[in-house]
Amino acid sequence: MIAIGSMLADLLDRIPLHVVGTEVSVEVTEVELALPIESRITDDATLLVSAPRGRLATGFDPHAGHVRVTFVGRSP
Amino acid sequence: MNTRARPGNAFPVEEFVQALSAQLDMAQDALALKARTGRPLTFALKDLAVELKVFWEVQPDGRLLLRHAAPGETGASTVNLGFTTITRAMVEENTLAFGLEDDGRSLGELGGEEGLDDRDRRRLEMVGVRTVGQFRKVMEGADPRQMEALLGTPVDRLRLALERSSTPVVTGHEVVRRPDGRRLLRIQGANLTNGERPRVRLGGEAVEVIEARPHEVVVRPLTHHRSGEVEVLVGAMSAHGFFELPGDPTPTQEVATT
Repeated sequence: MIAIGSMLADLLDRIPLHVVGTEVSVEVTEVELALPIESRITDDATLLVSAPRGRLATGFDPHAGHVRVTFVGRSP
Repeated sequence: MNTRARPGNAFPVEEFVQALSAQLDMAQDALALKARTGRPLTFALKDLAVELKVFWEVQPDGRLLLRHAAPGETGASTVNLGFTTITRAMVEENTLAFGLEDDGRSLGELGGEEGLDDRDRRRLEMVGVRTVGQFRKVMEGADPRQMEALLGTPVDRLRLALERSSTPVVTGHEVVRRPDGRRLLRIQGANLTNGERPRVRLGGEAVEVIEARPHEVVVRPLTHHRSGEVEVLVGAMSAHGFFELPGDPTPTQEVATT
């Protein structure tokens, strides 16, 4: 599990935002992600999250939450 | 055998939201850093919604705490938190403006014998009163009995707290150096003027008052002043403290006698 801020930056890093083809190029200008998460709050009130580990339910599963985030592109 | 996981700590809602906001700030900073690598397009966080399974706890003093549901726990509530980016102007419109003239001391300064207790302070915080300056603004012009009915705090305690909130107090000092090298002393506190210029004594000697505002008074120490007691006289009331001026004092001129 990692801090939610790190997860958000990591998610965006993994999305191809600029794809150059031979005839057509694609540039992503806005990204909206919605995904289930497992979450936990540490002793210093930091929210730690991770993607759910699988579909096999056990008695030790943390409760699943949900996160929806929107990133918007802009020229620096 | 009960294998239920041990529940985690509970946090005040505002503390958790602040911690989450700090995380989002870090994410924004990380995204902004990428712009410095020369990328033609960069991304910023526009909005975020988080759904969490939590349990709510209400403390005896009325504080609301939330605790994340542990694995195996049932009956958790669902809380949805939404964050969106707003401009600086919107932040300033919707938050309290902390003026330099306001008395920013905490309500704890009005405690003590027969003063506001923890429960009184909590009730005041729930109606948005967190500082002595805010308390005075709310109480001035208000009927104490109506305030007693609203807050549940006895009239006598409110009146005593209001008196204490208006009492002059010295909280600190700092040395101010003028361009010509002269040293002035800035005395910090609250209620240090009542509209008229206060009188100030350093080490028992009267000194010139250069500037006077409710939260600070600037005086010109005499050349031999180094440390001692500060006394600020505001009408019939006075406030006391101590001062210390760094550096060697100019020695007083002594007349040689034979």
